[in-house]
Amino acid sequence: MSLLEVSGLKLRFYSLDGPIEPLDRVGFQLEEGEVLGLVGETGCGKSITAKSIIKLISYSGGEIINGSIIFDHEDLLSKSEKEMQKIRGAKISLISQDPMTSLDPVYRVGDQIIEAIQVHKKLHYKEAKKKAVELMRLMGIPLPKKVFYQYPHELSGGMKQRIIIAIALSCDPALVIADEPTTALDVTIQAQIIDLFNKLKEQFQSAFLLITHDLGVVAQMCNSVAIMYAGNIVEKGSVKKIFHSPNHPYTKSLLECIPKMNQKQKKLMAIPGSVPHPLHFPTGCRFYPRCQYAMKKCLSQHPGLIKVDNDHFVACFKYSNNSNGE
Amino acid sequence: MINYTIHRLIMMIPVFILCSMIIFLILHLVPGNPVDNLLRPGSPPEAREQLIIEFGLDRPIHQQYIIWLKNIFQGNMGFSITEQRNVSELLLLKLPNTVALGVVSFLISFILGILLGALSAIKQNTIVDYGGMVFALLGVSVPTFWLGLMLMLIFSVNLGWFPISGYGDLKSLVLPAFTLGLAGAGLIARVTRASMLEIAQKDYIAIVRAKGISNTQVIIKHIFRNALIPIITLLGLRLGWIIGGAVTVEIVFNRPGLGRLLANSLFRRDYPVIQGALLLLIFAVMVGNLIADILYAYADPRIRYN
Ligand SMILES: Nc1ncnc2c1ncn2[C@@H]1O[C@H](COP(=O)(O)OP(=O)(O)O)[C@@H](O)[C@H]1O
Ligand SMILES: [Mg+2]
Repeated sequence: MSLLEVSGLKLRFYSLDGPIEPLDRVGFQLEEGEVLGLVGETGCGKSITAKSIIKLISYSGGEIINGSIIFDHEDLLSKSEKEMQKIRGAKISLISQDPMTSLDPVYRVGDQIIEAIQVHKKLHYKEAKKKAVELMRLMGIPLPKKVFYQYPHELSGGMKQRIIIAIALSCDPALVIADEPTTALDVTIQAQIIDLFNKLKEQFQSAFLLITHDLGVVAQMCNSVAIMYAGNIVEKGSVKKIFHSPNHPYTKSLLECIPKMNQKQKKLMAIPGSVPHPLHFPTGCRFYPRCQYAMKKCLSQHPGLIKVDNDHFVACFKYSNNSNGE
Repeated sequence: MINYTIHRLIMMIPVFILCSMIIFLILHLVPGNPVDNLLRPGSPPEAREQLIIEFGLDRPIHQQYIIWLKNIFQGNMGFSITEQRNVSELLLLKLPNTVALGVVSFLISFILGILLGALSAIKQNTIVDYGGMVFALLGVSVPTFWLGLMLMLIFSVNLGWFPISGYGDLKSLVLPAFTLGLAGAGLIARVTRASMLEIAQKDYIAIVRAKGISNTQVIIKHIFRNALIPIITLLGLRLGWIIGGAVTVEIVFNRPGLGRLLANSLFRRDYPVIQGALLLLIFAVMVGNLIADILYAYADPRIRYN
């Protein structure tokens, strides 16, 4: 059985304009030690998926109304808040989108790492501090003993992100959810953080759910990918399959948007249009307004995920038509 | 931090002098002459002239101001025109009552306001929240004098729990302090609630929760701790406000204090007393702001005073 199995996840928020369901039928699984990339444009529901897995979504006003989340043979949706607190940080941890705003501004960064250690491990401050400094060293933070006493605003974005990663890894979690860990950083720092992740992956043996809108990052780090569009998973599979034989028109366009060094491109490719707001999700396939292959069927019917291969699934009528025809 | 404090203390001097100038000018521009209150009706004009010369009111205004300021820095606040007493003596006599009222109502407004605001934020969109916010709205919008009269009517006249007026003991302080404190509590409750709700949505709170910290700890250690920063700003501002509010409350409850002294002296055009009392109030406001700024720096490490 997989380490994490999310299936049929449906989420509801009550906004001023009425209820919205920004996630529907979201499902994927993650094996121990695997790195799964969750990819999609901004606003397609990646962050709320991340928060749903550790059941923090209710604090943002969301409610999981359907689906199941099985982690390490346990059904997380049936767990109480108290039980979830034992899992958060210890077995599943979260790295959120923007390092600039992810640390509490009024506490020293060292104490924020210690807080994470001490919730789950009965360590004295001194021992916890030793462990925190050790973690900081492991994250490639220069002068960790000095940085320990600094406040978040005294550190650069890259350093803050290293602190946040230290917090996430402090209790050897089985799963780390990293929500766009490099998006807010400079390109050079991005590369450093990706290197760090690759190093930590070996060292900690945690599984990673890596959320990103950058397929380049996926190619460097992931074993498999799930492509998300407007709250649905539209295609998922191994990195090799997705990159070499993508089937969903959305995946194809995402891949075409990666600038290529060896081709003389005059213009960067972009997908026309944008992700609709959950209030205005089209019926049928949610991608059809932007899809160049849209058929009549796409307007009214919702395509489910169908198997392309053992490690490759796609939700598109064009594919099912083709395969039926064959 | 120490440098900053010293710097701020030195900066208080020019601000203080500027305020004294404004007070002095405004008072002397107000029509009416203090000696008129001293003369019996029908006194001869010569007697009036003589009094004016005696109090130095015949000299040019800038001379009067310089003499007054010089005296102040020597600790001499002048002589009351109507009370036949040293101004400093008069102020010191009334100060304890006002300080007691101020301190107690200040505590009431902060303790009640923060509790109410925090409770409303934690129980957002429940009956507790709605109740708390209706109370807060009433607190900020009901005029002090009316609230004072109503409290007096209910708790003194009808229930007989507290004296209608008077001073000196704790019992007589309860109603005036609540009258003054409730308005502040309303404002502080609203700021506390808004601030806590805003902080609760920050990314770092999600990260703290993702560590597995219990909800109580998240609220106290992280949400409330960060929400405190705007509340501290209010602290400095409230100090000035409370002294202003003391005028109304002291009159309604017939309590001798700086506020009432100030109001009475204004009616009698007793310049030295008004000036002295106003200077004392300005001083209190400046000290309040200084304390708030220092606390602010302690509460928020992002602020560095150099
Ligand atoms: N707290 C919230 N209340 C209401 N709607 C929300 C909330 N958070 C996210 N959403 C909606 O969910 C959708 C997906 O958001 P998000 O997961 O942040 O996207 P992504 O991380 O992929 O950029 C957005 O359209 C947004 O409108
Ligand atoms: Mg996001």
